[in-house]
Amino acid sequence: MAYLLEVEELSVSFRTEGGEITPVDGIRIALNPGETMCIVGESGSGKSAAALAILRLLGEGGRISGGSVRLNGEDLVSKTGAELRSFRGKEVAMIFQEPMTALNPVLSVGSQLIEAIRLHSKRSRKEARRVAAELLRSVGIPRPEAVLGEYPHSLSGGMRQRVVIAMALASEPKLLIADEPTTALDVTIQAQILELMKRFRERSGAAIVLITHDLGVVAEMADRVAVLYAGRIVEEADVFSLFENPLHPYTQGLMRSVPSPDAVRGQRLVPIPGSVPSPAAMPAGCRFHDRCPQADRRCREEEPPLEPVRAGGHKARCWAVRERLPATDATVASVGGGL
Amino acid sequence: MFPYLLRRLLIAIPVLLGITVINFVIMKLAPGNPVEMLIDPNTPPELIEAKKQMLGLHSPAYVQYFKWLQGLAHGQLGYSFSSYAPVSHLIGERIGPTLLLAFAALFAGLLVALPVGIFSATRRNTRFDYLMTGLSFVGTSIPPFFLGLGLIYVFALKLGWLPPGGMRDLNGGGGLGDTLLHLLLPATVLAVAIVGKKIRYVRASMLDVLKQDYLRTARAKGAREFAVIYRHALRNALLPILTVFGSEIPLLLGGSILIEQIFQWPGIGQLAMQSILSRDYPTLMALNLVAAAVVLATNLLVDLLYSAADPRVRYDA
Repeated sequence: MAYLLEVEELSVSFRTEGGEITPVDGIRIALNPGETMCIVGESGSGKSAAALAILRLLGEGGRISGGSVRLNGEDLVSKTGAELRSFRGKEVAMIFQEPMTALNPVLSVGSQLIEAIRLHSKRSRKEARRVAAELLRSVGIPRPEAVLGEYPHSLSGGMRQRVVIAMALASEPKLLIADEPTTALDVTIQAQILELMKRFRERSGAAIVLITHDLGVVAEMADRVAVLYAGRIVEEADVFSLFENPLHPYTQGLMRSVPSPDAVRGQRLVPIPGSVPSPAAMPAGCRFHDRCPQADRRCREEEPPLEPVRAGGHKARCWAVRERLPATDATVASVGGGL
Repeated sequence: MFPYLLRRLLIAIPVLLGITVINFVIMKLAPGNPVEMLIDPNTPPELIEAKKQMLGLHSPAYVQYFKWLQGLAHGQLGYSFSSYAPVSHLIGERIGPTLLLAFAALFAGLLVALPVGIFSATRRNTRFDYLMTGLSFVGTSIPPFFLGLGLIYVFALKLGWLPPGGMRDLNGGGGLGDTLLHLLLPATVLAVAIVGKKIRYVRASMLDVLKQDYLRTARAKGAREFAVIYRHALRNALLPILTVFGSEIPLLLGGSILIEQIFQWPGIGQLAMQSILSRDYPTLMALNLVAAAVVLATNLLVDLLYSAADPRVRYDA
């Protein structure tokens, strides 16, 4: 079947003073309408760059250096100018990490929201204002009429993020990309914001790409999960398989480093030693090998492919996993579906 | 808003008084006195003494200051030591041309520096940007008096297109066109200096804003690049620019002394120069007072404009 979003071998490069770096290196995402894909990774894993690349918002010095991004079969990488703008905000909308800086401080909430509405529909200013108030109400903002006339600085972080979401939902996008939408918010607000995104998905059947480093958010939202490490997807699975049976040593490390509700009292959290390698100095072989407890010589020399290793399309990029799991199982995986 | 304004105006009074005290002290500390400047040094001492008596220079300095202050309280700025004309008249005659020159230069400067700065920022590291930052460096580096003399040489002497100085043609000039023709060269010199400095400010301020997250939000909405720059970025970039352009106004009034000399522009710059040379205390005190008032007024104006431009700035009390 045709996917809504199909990202093939996407690479993103940035020009820096020390030469070109490639923080995203050949990632693949396929997403059906109504699905939520979470991209998980540490800071520096390339997850934000991947999200921005989908909308071609990499900014100065950044470019898509390989691969394709297709939405409903249309290639976004080759689009320019007006064509691209008709996708941004309309077909694909984005929610950003920092609600404090994502809104323009000198323009009123209303004028920013009305701009988003009028960019993609032929509505009069007055009608757009009515729609804007409705949007604010739908994201749970009390007295929407009054808030339209206010400026971002007079709203709390949670309220601002609601405004950003209202703006993203203005044109009923088919795909919503959310780059750490709850990271800057406190926990109760986080839950409300996630709830909003879920409601939107259920109502409109849109797909969501959710970038996060928070495994709690993943468990709450995801249908499928891709674990990103140093610009590569190292493990990909549906959310249940991933939590029940994380295969890649990196994913296992991530799971061990966060507290779980059924943990034994006194049990220690285990951090992953070291940090994500800089894109300017990628290690040879498996990119995780110098932090991996299971690494052997092969891991240092040769990079493993991302391969189906279990039923349900559970893929991992690890030599050790390949050896543990019989090849027949992997073959089954590519035809098997769901749990 | 109104209480804020009132408070600022009330605070301005002691500030202005303090400035006049400092001015008076500095003026008195400067060597020479008005009588020496006015009278032939061979004049008998009794006559000099009489002249001092007449001008009120015999009493102690603080008495002189309080007498001046007393006059000020009655709206009197006194009489010029050298021309005996009322100081208020002298200044009233001269302030108009100076304001005309200053605001023409400021306006022209803004008109050039704003678009060039914005273009330089949005096309950073292109040939246009290099050319403009280069030119702005040249503009800042050329001494205004040198540029002034150069322009007079080329456009007045060699080409004969523009008058070399003054504000109106002596043979029946004085119309608007005539004044503008005379204004062109001195205003250009001042504007070049402004543009040189301000292109860099505008560019830097704009570059700063161009990095902000909310521009990415605007692009993600599908806004055109034009709207991103002129609707979303420019208003934010204008805030710091407002301050530097505001602070330029008092500099223009004082800094035009040299330019007014070169172009024989009948403004307060020339008056100030003459008054300094003749130690014309009353005129100098009044000029300083006007200058101080202009500085305070522009500061207040900039603050008010700021609150109009930036919704985060509100003056409640």
